[in-house]
Amino acid sequence: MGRKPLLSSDYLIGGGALAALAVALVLFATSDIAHHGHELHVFGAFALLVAASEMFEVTLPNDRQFSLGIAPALGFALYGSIVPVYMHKSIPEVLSVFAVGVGLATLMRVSMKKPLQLIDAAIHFVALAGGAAVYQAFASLAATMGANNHGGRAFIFNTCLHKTAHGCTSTTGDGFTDLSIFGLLAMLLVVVIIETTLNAYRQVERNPVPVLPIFKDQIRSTGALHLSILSVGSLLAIAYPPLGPWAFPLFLAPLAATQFAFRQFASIRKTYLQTIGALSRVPEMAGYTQPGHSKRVAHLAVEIAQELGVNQAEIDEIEYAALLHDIGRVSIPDPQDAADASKLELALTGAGIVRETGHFPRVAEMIEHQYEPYRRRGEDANPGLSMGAKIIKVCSAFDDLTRPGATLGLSTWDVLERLHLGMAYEFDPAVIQALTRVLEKRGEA
Amino acid sequence: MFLANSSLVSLAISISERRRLIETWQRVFGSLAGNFIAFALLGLLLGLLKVLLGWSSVFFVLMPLLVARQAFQAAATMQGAYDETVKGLVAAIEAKDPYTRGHAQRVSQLSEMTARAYGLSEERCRAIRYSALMHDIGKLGVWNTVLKKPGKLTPEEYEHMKDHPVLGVEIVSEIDLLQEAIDGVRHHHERMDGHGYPDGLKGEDIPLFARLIMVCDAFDSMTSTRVYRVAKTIEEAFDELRRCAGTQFDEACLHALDRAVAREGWEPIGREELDELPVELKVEPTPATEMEKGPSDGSQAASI
Repeated sequence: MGRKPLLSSDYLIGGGALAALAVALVLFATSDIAHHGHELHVFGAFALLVAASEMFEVTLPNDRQFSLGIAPALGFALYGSIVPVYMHKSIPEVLSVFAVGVGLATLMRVSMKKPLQLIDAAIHFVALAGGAAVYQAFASLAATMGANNHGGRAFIFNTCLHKTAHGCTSTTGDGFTDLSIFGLLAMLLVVVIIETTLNAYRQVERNPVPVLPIFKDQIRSTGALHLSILSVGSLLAIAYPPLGPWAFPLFLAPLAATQFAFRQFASIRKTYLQTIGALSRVPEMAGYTQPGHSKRVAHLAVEIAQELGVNQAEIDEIEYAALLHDIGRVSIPDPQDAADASKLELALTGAGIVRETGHFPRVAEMIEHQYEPYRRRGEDANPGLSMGAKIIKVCSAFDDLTRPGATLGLSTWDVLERLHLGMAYEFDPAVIQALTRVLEKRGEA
Repeated sequence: MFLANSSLVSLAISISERRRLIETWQRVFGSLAGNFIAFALLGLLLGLLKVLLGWSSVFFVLMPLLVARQAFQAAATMQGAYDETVKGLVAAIEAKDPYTRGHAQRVSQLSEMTARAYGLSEERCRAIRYSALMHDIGKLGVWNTVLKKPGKLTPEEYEHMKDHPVLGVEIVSEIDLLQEAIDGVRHHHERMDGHGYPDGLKGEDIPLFARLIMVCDAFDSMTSTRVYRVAKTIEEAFDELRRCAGTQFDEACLHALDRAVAREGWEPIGREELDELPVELKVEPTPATEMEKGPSDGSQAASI
């Protein structure tokens, strides 16, 4: 997030996290752990682990970076409730561990000149506080249930921390507490909700578009990741008491696999888009279309689609279709004949090219319908038209009228007026309205 | 167990494909050993965890691995889709000229085979696949009239034709490819003696990718049937390439291609359709129709 300007919500989140941290540090300093030297090494080990994991960044499909320091911090929170000696280890201590780890990671980032992730860390911090609190509530509930009535144990994981000749004995007698499965689920839920809400809110603040699809996309792109993070955190919590620092490689290995997999996915997705973008320039280079047309159309189409609250998967397809909407033109033998050729036929050819690759039936369909009018006179709006086709139609028309060197020399305002005249028959009114809003945001209209 | 398994699999493969056993075993072993060791370690780890920490720890290890697997699978699916999409788009773009249909795809395949025979790393073999696939993408920027002209080009038209590697670089440089792959596109018309274009590089100064693509490009052109001639046989093509080795092509690359073709096989395109070809084409592969777009060097023309 380095170069982008800070938003008001950033100050809110950052300030809130800092205030909470101050309180946590004071509570921590006055708590027992600070006075017991033999517990400090655990604290230090976890803080180092947070710092190390914070340097691990998972690249999410939308190119956002997600650092993993929250995983050992969650582990530390769970660990505190597993091992009764540290039972008093509570939220302030967990937050302090996380803050110290993030502080170390930030120092490392500064020295390595890598972009800082402070706002993201603050969001993790808030989520961590919420998650730890919820888990503690559940754990104490489970403990009372377990103490009163053994039925409560049906809801908990047997962590088998204390092995005896009779098998695992836990929860009672030997002083170890199990992980509460409901507590873990509640923790997952709270962490996901806090992170998703804050991130979606920031995104919408940056670019005011419908929030629900963004919220859903956030959950889709980070839900599985959060599940992984909580799992490795739990693993760390149950592995640390018997294994000590040996638990760390055990913890880092699945995390590294996750990071590698996500990075690979993100890099292929990026190359994909770049390649389609590069190939979309071929018709321009051959003189069939105006230079930069497909890129501009794609850019505008994505903005309009976001404005209309289309989900990320479909936005990707709209971007591909917009980039390739003129690809059919390469079938004309001579660029000079481009003006004479039937547009519908070219759209069909282009759609055929994409359809033949076999992977994007919806992209092909958008290209095929890029010239279809929104509705014909005397008929109802064509229900078979996809949002992508309608958006590309508008964007392509808009770019033809406004591109650098357009013959008519109309102002953006004139062009919008023209498009408005074609509204309800040629163009989808909703798309035109979204276009107007996008241009207003850009300060062009 | 793994040794026995890989040996048996290799035996089966080498019998069915009539190749040397050791070589096959190396390939099979190489590709599977990493996986096998990783899974063996994972099994060991899970067993240990179960004993030490109980079942829940196994669950907590498997959950992130499952998520990672999901992401890997999505990445692999996308990679497959990517390859096919790029192939499809490049094919559609070059389909303007029916006689070069499939050319890019074949050069891509040949270049990858050759790079492997040359001993390049897996990553570079993958990179050259894309480089070769798009080596002629800049041709679309060349006037159609020039590209489709049946006769000899005027010097001016020839100069314009020579821009196509540079135009190609303009397109592919937008993609995050290895720099080598981009150089491969730019320099695939250089010659070892320095008389090529666009930069007139000499010998080893020509990037390796370009030297490999050059040979494969010429080889595929010669073994494909074109409007002005019928495809040469593999032997004829290699004879001709050998004649130009040193002046036009890199000898080491040519050897690698030779090995790759000997090992994996290659079929000339269009020869089997000889009987179905239009009559004038069959009877008239005479010097008159053997039009060369460029200086009168056989393989130079073939490689344009």
